[in-house]
Amino acid sequence: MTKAVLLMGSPRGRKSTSNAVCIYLQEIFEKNGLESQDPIFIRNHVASEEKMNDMLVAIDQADIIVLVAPLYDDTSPAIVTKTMEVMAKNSSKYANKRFLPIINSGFPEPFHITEIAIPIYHKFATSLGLHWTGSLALGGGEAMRGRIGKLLNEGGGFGKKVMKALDRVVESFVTNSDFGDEALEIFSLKIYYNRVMRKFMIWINNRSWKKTAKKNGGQVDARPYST
Amino acid sequence: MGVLILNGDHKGHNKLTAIQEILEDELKEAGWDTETFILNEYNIKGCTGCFKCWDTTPGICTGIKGDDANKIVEKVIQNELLVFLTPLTFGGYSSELKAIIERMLGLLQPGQLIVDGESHHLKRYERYPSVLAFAVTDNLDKEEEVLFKKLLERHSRNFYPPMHKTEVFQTKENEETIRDRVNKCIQKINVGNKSG
Ligand SMILES: Cc1cc2nc3c(=O)[nH]c(=O)nc-3n(C[C@H](O)[C@H](O)[C@H](O)COP(=O)(O)O)c2cc1C
Repeated sequence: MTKAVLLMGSPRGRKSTSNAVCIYLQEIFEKNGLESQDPIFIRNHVASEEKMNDMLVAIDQADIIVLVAPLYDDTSPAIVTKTMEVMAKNSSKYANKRFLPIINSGFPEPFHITEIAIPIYHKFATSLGLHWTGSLALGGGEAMRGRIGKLLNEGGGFGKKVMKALDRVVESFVTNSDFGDEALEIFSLKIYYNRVMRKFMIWINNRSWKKTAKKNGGQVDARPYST
Repeated sequence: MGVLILNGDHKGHNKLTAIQEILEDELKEAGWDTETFILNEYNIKGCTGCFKCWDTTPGICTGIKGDDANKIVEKVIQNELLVFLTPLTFGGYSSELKAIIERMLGLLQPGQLIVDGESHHLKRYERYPSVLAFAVTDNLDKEEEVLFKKLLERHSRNFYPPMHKTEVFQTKENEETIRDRVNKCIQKINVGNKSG
């Protein structure tokens, strides 16, 4: 039986868009006869060598490695980078395992993910001899509200779109074919109406941050450090 | 003029020590006040994505307590130049350097704006430091070098440095060559800062 490991790379943990993606993936792995365990929360494994080794063993035993993580500063979160560095020390172990990263961002444009982060993951994969089966960029994943614990089926139209793409990811695993590199966006900025709406949404969004900060006793544009 | 050097070497590796020392020498020579943090000697955790630095204590991370990140982040904004030193890691930053970069999130505001058709965050401060990013590698890989330059270019769009400059060095390069390359970067930054 083909074994898949889900590496959940969000430092947020359980309440994150990355975890919502993992939960759905685990469900469809099972339905499609792929063997997998609960997602491995990277943040729980990077602090100690012993825990890191546990994660490496799980990776070692898998045929397919799916990394699900947020975009942080145009690239991987530090905890994911740490995992990549440690894996690179044992690179001989990973030859031909299949690898696919699924990365979500705050900004809606998927190129924030595909410009640098995906090529860095690709470089990582090829350096370790992993088989790159493709990647999935989710532009605007934050808006699915994984941060407050929402699952993909509660993520509206975009959630549905993401689930469909994940179905195809799993199909590619089952049929032993490559998924390819895909990017989904929460709304297409190629459409004029959406570009106008985007401006309105930014206005609403900026107001909402201001209100929340005020409610919490702060001022959103405070400058606490003197310059 | 102040410069903050963030050395993202891995514990026990000392791959970046030579370049750090050359850089400090040359910057001092050029009239900069330098302060260096070898990050692996400090307790610095990566960002946990709680956004408290945006919506609860704007500008200050209060989501992670008791580590050394805040005092370094404060210095970032108070200096005119920020230097990243990192082992080249698949074309990106090391995990040590990446952790502190993540903690700089509060130096921006959560609100967004569109620049050249791209979403970016609003500035919190009027002025940000220029950025020099030096990566060191044993064997130069062109693809990784290009990625590193692009990463800095993208990152700069979100961080508003008046100037940024990237260089990739090889561990086998001799001291003179490194000194010469470092100097050229400092000159460019000096000129940029004066004109900017
Ligand atoms: C430290 C930090 C850096 C981030 N950098 C970016 C970025 O460069 N581009 C972007 O579009 N979103 C960025 N984000 C937003 C996250 O990608 C976004 O919140 C994502 O949905 C989080 O996913 P998760 O819930 O799976 O952790 C950043 C968030 C944090 C906390």
